Amino acid sequence: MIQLIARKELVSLFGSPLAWILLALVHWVLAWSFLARLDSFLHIQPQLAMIANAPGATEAIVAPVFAMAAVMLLMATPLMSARLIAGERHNRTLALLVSAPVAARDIVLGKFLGLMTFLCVMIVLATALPACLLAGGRLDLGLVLGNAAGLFLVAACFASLGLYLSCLGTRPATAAAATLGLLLILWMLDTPGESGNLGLARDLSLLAHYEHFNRGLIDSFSLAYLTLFVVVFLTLSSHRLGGEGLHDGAGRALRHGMLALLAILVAASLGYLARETRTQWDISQNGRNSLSQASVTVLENMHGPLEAVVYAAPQDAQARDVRRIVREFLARYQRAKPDFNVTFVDPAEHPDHARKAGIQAPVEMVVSFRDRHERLDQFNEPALTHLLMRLARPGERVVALLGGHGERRPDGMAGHDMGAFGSRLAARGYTVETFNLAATAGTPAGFDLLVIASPRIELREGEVDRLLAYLDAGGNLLWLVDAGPLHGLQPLAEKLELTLMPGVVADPRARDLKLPMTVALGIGYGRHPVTRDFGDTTMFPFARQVIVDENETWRSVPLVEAAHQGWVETGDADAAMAFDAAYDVPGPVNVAVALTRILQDREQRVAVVGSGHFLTNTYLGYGGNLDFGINLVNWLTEDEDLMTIQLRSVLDAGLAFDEPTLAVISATLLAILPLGLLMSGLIIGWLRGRR
Amino acid sequence: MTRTPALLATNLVRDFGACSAVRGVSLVLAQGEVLGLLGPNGAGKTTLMRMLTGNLAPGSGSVEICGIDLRDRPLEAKAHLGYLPDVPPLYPELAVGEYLRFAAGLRRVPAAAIPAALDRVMRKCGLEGTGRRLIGALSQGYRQRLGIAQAILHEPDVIVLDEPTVGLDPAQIRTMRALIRELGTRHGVILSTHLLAEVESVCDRVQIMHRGSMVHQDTLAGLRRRGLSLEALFMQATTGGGDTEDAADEPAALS
Repeated sequence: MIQLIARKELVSLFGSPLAWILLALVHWVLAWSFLARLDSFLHIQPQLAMIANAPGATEAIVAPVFAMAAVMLLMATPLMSARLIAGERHNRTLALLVSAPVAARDIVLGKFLGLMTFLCVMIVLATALPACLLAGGRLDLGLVLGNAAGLFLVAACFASLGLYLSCLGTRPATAAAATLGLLLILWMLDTPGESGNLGLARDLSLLAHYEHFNRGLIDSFSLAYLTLFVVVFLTLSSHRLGGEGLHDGAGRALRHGMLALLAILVAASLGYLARETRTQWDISQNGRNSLSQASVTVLENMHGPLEAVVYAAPQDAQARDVRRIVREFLARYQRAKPDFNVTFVDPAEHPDHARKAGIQAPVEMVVSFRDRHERLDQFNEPALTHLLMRLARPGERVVALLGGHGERRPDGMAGHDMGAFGSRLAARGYTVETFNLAATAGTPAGFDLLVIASPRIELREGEVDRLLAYLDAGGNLLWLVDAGPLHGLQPLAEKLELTLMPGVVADPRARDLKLPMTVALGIGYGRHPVTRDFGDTTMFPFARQVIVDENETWRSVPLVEAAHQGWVETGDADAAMAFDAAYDVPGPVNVAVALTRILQDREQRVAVVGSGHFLTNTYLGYGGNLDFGINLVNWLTEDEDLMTIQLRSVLDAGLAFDEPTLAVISATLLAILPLGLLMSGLIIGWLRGRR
Repeated sequence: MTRTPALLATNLVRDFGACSAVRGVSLVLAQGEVLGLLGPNGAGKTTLMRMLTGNLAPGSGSVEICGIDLRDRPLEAKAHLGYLPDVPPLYPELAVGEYLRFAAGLRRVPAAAIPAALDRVMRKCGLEGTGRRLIGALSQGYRQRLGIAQAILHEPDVIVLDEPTVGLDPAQIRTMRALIRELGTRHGVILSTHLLAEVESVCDRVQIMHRGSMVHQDTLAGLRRRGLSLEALFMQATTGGGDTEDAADEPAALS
């Protein structure tokens, strides 16, 4: 019986040109926007390839088109749903259905099914758009599927509400207007107002639930909400229609009101349950809603609750809903770690809290784990995951700088000291201390990394022996070597199988940056965890060339090549510098090297940089010096995971269409298909009319 | 009467706001009987018929079709019912055949029996050859006959016809009356009309409604035996009260 009524609805629909015109119109608008997005994607594709974490084609083209399709369905459905019952009342045809032995439930379901079949044709047409992209590349089919499923569910919501309002009256026009109005309200419910308080409104908003699907996320609460929405309105429709032959007047209205109340109460409690047990699955193949494996591992190793307080105004200066952006970003972490609690504080409302927390940026958050706190003002996965790693790190990492020989001091504020770098390391959870050989005995120990930064006083032989013993014991070392004498550290260089060439690296390119030629610009980087994805220029003042001798002991990777157009100046650095082919070594010059060897089943790590100046207070801010220094220390203290969180690359990054294919697609989508739909409607109408 | 009546309505009442359209009407229809429901426009005939067919809930009172309570077991009761409302329930965008097949499906006619039922009913109602035409393109006479066709296509025990001959020309009226008489031999038929001639030519029994109440009922045979004319009876029943204020909203629609 349901099928019979649904089939009759379809014959009525497709027998008249209205449905075909509507199909053609909706399709044309969607195709137009789709092609416009495709065109701009093809244009910006090269730039996108340069951006880290750039969206794929499906996310850039298909998801917005589906979002638009949902709005088109919202507009079109009331036109079709209003006539379902109100139209029959208006034309006095409802008597045929009501006097037949057909349950009101079957009438309602049949009408609903008929309308849904029509809407499914629209959804299939919308899904055909992304299918065209398969001619030019790959698609994130999970995301497409999620979008189609979301579109189907919201279409069912639109249809069920429209059907119910159609049951209430005798005028299709009124029903259509009421449906459109209510749907628009339900759709836009979560648009933030002045208050920014969206709790319930967001839970009720159809758009908010659709957005999950639009991002390739299956949210159990959204699924439950949309399903309950459909069930409630179909039940109410069936009750309202069936009540007509059973009860009269005020009694019927009362009974219907009671049922409506009951249905909403039941649905609300089920919805509440669904909300409390909410889980989400990322079905997009690119996993854009999921964290990288590295981040997931970090979270898995954090036992116990994680708290974040986000200091953000409800809207930023551009009236964007920054809290929502932050909330969605953090949601990825919350999916992997359910006891990650996030609260929002408006710094304008609680300036004292914000000051106490040391908030400086307009949007900043404080993350706490086991009484340890860290601040963060960048909202991207590498930044937050690094922070979490630091929070989760069981013990403090200790970096010791050799002292006692006029070395650069980690707490000194003079230009040649390294106070700024020291405090940067401290901010990242390192304990930085000075280590004096004279104050201890035996092999140096008690720290994770020893830094030798440009001693200016000769080291005694015994001291050097102890440093060599430290190396033999597998200790990690960062050696910053200035041009000039080694002050007794020659045995260390021999131990590391290095040749430290005399002379200063000269780089004429530095003049372009208004720097003296004695600053060597590091541009080429080796394939190494320290310099992976490193693009900044580094600047090494008074650098010396570091050459690794051939050896079996150490595995070496050159880290930085500097002075591509420069040379190693063997003459007097203070005098006018010029390339002298007879004496000078032409660039590029290797100025930093990473060495490793396996000792007692663990990797010993050493880095030697031919410039002691690059991390000093004077030069730390130059180019990528700070990042390079931090990366070096991270790697040397065996925190290389910290360095780069490898973001997944998207599988649908590139689309390639040749002109003819593109022309065929455009012609099909913009002309052949819509015209075909229009013609079908007209031909069918004409054929049916003339016989 | 030991046989279950085809239709039994007891004390039906229906108000529309302050105005009461039907006040305590009862009626009995036997199998194989044609009952004429006669009354001026606005007497409550259409409201009564909508209640008899489950289209409108009575304020109080009950309806039984073939002994099945319409309110308690509506689907079973409606299975014995064919109904032509005052406006035929036709979908202009459907073709005649599509429409009749849909109506047959709604009445649960088995799929295998549908073509034969369609053939029979189209022949009876003079709709031969119109099967593929769109209902929207049909003339008034055809539409009225199509309306009757959908009401009788499943051979129901009770056929309720609200003004079945409106819009038909005299020749069509004659065939339609013959059809109703023929239906009346095997089914129970209730026929509302304001045409005296129609009642005289097809009905076995007549009930006269006036201002929502049943004011008179008799068999036509009985009337003839007593030498009473239906017209005189009708005039007496509907204007006899002589309320001048009511005369304005109930113009006697006699032809």
